[in-house]
Amino acid sequence: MESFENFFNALASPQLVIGIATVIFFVYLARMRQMMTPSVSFGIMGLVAVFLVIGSQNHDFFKIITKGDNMPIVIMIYSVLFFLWLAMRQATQNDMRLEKGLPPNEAEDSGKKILVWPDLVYSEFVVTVLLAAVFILWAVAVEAPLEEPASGARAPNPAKAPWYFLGLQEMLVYFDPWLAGVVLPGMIVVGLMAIPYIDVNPKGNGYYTFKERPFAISVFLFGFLILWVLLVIMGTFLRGPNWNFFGPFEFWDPHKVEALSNINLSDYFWVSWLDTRLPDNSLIREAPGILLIIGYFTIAPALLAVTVLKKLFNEMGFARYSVLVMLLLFMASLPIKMLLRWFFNLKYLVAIPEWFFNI
Amino acid sequence: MSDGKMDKAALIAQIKKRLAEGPSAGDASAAAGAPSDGDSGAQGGGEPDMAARIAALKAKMDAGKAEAAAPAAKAAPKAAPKAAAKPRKAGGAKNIFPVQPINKRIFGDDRLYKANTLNLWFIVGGLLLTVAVLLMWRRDHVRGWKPYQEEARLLTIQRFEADVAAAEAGADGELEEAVKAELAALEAQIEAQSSELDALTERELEEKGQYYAANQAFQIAKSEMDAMRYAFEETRLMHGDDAELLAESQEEFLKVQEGVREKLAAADAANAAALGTKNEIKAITAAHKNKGRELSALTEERDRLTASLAKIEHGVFNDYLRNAPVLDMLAPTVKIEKVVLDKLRDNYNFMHVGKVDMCITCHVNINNPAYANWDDANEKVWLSDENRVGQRVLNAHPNLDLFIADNSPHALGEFGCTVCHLGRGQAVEFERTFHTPTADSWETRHEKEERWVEEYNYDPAKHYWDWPMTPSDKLYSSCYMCHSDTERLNGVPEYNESRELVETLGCAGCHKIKGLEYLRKVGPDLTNLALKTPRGWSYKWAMSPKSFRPTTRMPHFWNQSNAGAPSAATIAPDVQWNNNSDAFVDDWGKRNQVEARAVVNYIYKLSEDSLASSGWSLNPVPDGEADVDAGRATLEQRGCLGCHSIADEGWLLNDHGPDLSAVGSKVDARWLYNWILDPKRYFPDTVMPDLRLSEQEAWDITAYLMTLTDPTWEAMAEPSTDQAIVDQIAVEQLSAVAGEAWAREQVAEMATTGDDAVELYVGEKLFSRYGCAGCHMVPEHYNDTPIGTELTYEALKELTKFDFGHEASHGNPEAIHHSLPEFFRYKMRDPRVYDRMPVVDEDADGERFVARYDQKVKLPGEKLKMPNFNLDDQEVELMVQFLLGLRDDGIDDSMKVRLDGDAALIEAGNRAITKYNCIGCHRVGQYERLVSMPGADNDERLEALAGLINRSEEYGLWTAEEVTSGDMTLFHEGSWLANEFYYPEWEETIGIIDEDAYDDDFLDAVDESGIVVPDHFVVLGEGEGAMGEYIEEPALRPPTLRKEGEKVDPEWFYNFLLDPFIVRTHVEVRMPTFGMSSDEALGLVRWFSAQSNEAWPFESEAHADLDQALYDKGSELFTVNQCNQCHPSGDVMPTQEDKTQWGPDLSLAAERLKAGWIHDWLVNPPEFQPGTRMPNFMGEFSDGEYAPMYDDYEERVDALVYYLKNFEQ
Repeated sequence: MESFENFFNALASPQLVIGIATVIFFVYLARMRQMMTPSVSFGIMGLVAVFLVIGSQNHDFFKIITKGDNMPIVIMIYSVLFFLWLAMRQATQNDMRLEKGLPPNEAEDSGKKILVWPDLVYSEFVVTVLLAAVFILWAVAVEAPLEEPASGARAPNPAKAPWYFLGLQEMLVYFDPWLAGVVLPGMIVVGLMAIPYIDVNPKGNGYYTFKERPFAISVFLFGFLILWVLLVIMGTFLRGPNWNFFGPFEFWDPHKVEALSNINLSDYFWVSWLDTRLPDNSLIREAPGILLIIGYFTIAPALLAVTVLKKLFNEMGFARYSVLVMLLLFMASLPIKMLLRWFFNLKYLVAIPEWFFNI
Repeated sequence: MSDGKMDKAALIAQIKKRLAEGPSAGDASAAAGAPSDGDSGAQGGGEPDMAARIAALKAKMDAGKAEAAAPAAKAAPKAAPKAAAKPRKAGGAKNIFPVQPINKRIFGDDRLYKANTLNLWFIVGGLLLTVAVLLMWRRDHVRGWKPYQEEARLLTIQRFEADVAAAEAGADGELEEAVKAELAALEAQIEAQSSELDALTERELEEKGQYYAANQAFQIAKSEMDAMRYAFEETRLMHGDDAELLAESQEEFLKVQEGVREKLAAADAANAAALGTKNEIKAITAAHKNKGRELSALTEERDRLTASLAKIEHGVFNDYLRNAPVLDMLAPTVKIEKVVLDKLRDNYNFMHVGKVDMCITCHVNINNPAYANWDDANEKVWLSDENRVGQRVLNAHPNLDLFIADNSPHALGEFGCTVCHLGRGQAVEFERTFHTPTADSWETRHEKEERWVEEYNYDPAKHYWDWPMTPSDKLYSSCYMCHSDTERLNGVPEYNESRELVETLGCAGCHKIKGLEYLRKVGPDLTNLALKTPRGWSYKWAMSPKSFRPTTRMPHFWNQSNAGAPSAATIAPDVQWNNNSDAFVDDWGKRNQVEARAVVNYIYKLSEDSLASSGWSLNPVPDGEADVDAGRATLEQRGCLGCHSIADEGWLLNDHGPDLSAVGSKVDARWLYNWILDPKRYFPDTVMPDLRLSEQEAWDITAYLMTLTDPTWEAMAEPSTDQAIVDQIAVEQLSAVAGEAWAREQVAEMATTGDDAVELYVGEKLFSRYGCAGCHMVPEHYNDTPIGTELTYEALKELTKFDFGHEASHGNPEAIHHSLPEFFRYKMRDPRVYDRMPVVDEDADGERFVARYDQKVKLPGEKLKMPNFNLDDQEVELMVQFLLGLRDDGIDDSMKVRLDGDAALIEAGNRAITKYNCIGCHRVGQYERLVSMPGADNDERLEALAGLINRSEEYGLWTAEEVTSGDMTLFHEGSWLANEFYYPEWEETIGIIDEDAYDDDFLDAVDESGIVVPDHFVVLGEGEGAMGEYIEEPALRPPTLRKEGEKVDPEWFYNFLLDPFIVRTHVEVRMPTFGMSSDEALGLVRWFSAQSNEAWPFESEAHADLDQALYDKGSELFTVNQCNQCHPSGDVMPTQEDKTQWGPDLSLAAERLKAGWIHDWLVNPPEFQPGTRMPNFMGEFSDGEYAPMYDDYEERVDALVYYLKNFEQ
């Protein structure tokens, strides 16, 4: 038991959790067809269950996963795994059918008609009734908690966002609030709205497929699974007092101290490399970072257009490509910033606290 | 292409066309396009109903669609995909796979869901939802507080039943029966007259009807007349010049008026007739009615109780109907009770919200005296034993006199519960109200907590509420919130003791605490220290004050648990704290010595500098020889022992000033002489008074005190210094600026400026670190900011903001309870305890235990620095209690006791009594004190009572409240215990006349009288005036001042306090000059007058023109009674040789004494001054009555009073 706990506690750092998850994610995409057999998929869910059951022997872990607020997240893990499996299984089946020249599964019941009444309204009504019953029973069973009066002066520790915003809160570790709280969420919303307009791939409409839209689905799933769901899970179970990172079986000691050793790019550039003092003018001081950012958003798209994304550029045309690549770059900025933080202790690329402008 | 599609396209085209053409052309076109809808089209008429028509068109379209679907369904599934898909995909991307048309009829078998399945799910869902809702309902209805109310109701029912039974038992059955029989007889009588009665009743009804009609006619006529009157007056106003109109109007009015009068007369007549008949009926039935009243008067109490009982007694209606869900909104027998308090508020962070305390929902009887003292024995006997719902929950408040009761100063409706108790008032479930377990007679705190977890789902971590209830043994902490203006609360020793301790220890010197700012620094002035004590003594003193003087208030700063000495707050007594060395200091033992020396040297340096600049110096001592014995005698008799103790001599009664046992080892003789002679010269703010000693007396006392030495102390080695450590400390201090290397340079440089420069620098830094200026006046540091945390709101701080170190950590097997009281408790036991690092090990069974304690890794400057006051357990608890009360929040100012005007003046007097320790010499009755009568049986308590009376007899003690036994009053409130015994009550009840009645005869007599002595008395004066006990002869003791306000003239008193002189020349003990402020003196005068209920502001007694005759008579009596035998009067000394028999100077009486008091005094001296030598000239009390010696004693007294009041004239 102890070695079990120690093993998972040892894995508990943001870089390891996200790194391992990313590796698993790409293995999953690459080995999709093997993964989609029910034995593998349900095996994974079973492993998660085994982990939860064994882990529950630990008092702290048990308290965290059974806390009224956290139960939905445990359920979310399963619902994400299940629906991912459900969707991707149909996608792989279709892919195989298409390879054999058969139409997708959905073609077979495409003639079916769903009547508003009774099929739609009635079934929705039944589900409403069932869910209402389940929620009431749930609330009665766990005595849905009301917490202490809110206070600006006496924040709870850890102060956590609602579970669906924990991903955003995790981003705050790496970005300033205006970026993590305003610009990036804004880009997510705008990006999701823009998808129909930048998508030129005619395939995969109305049926599940992975092979015909590998790029779109991989990018979306990476954003959803790694950059959102995983951060929600981390935020719920692994972020403790003072937003410190705790192993699943670690006691949430509010006095735990983590080293604060992050420095800015300007420090690296001027102090470490050029061995000189920081320039007084903040623009000059931050010039390396500013140039890097400008380069990231100008040179990178051009480079991508002639290399990796050449095909895409040709298919989409300039305007669509530009929008797409901007969105991708914004999305990539989070993992990039994480990597920079983990490997270089980089705090900000551009740090102008005088203007509250930090990137 | 099916027909349906065509139809649809055509119809759309038609609609568009029609819309374009406008309404006028619409009819025909619509009729043409949709012939089947002709009716609706025609209905349009002139103004066509566009919406109706469009609806009709749509219906047509749908019909077409259905037609289209039907034939398609017959075809093979894959035959017509293109036809169906085409319209949707027009101009779009290529169709990947075909959409099949629906292949069955709409309600055919292969719908997406089967209707029966859906129905089944709906039934399941519906049932589940019903169950869920019922469960929710049940959860809402079955509440934790209800059983308490049911239990209380059960108790109330029982009480009512008992009362009803008692009323029934107490009823006079025979009398009732007799009355009932008479009633029956009268009834029969009436029955006999029934025909007559019926006729009369019939007639009365008839007449009443007539009256009704006549009266109605009158009322109507009257209202008409009123209208007419208005019209008439209006006519006079508007048309006063039209005589004809006026006359007409008046005539009409008068006519109507006449009619009204007639009708009134008719009505009155009818009414009179009816009344007449009524009286006739009454005459027949009156006797019966009266008898009936008699009967109900007999049963009234029982009926009332029965009715009350009916309201709550068990039964279907009361138990189920009234308390049924939904119906219970009307008038349930169990319901949530609450008090709403606007002036006491809960702090919800963004706003203060008036408290709503629902505690009384469960604590139903809190306000009910019937359940007072519902003690441990009772609580075990629950009415419904299997349903034992709580412990003391149904008790009344244990102190209804002071709290909760409507007539108490803290009535429930005004103060609620949570302002003192804390917890969450708006909750009614045990686990949400945040009770705090407190140890009691049958459970430890821990056991109680575990039981609560088991029984009530109690949450020890107290989530979601920041202020759990105050432990019940610390409740008097709450007083401070509203009563901080009042230094001591009469009758609340728990509060007084804790506040007194805080004041004595000088907590407010380092920690700001709102309400205690007025306190002076508790330590002596060190400005001229260099002339007082040798450095060597001060080194040792600083290191360890208590080894020189165990009773000193000076705490220990060095050799503390986080720096070289064992901890006091030991959880595991056999576990060592390895603390002599840590990561940064090799030998704390040495370093402590170096630090102490450095601070002392720094203070001496400041003192010497100050002396050099101020030129202050000690006066020379007298040339003569000092007499040690005379000094000792003077010290003992003159009054020094009113404040000081000298343990070695066995003088231990007072501890206001320091113990002088080893003062000879401490101070310079010349300084001591100067100090005794005039303390304020050396220390202007000292409370040490000036006894106005002669130089020789002072010198003698000095000589005596210098003989009091402590050889052990003197032999103790002085702390040694070590330049390397001094340098190291200096480097530590300076490193913060620019690193260690730079600091070392600085120190080296500093060393060149003088041998002790580095040490003085270190001393200065440590002086500031330890906050010496919090208690002492030290030059250059007179106005230093206090170094400690402000404590005003300490108990409101979040628990997470208290650094428990590792003492409450997860993983510490010896962890203490993570709570506020426990934090304070450990901090007070050992202020450095949270620097401790438990090192945990596991034994063979895997049991974790603390193997030892190490130091936490901290730089010397980071370590906790609060000094150790070496508090004992009781003092620790008092401190914890006080600290828990520092949470004044949300209380409206109007709820607080703010002393202003007269009340502030009295409080100033109260504080002056404490400050100048008046009660060291005098008994004044400052506070009520509880004197327990020890012993289990009455004889033992009686013995103790006799002792109490004995002490009272000798020196005076007063009961603060009435003491009763059975229905006998033993002592009246405010009476002198011995006095009470001499006079009325006791003698009457016990029949004792013997003045030595507290001897065996007394005991026997009391015993026989059957008096049960209470187990405690609340006494005024107990513990006061201890100085007197050093003086054998009562008459030579400092006087008892219980009724001083009644006795002395306020103006004289005021001046006397500011500048006292000798009133009783023969007495050795002396009222010193305190040098008090005029405010303090005025406060004292007012305090004494308030004690005697004297009028305030006072009026001086005017000297009228001299009544020579009266004066002469007084003068004669003065001589006759030989007043001069004992009393000096001005220059005339008493004839009496024995000075112990002398009285005060009577020439002072005119100014000093109040006439009324002299009068009462002359009549009965012992009433005022227990143990007085003043004979009773005028008469004596005997058999509870005053027996005057002379018939004209009143005139004699008056003449004497007049003589004395005009003495100088």
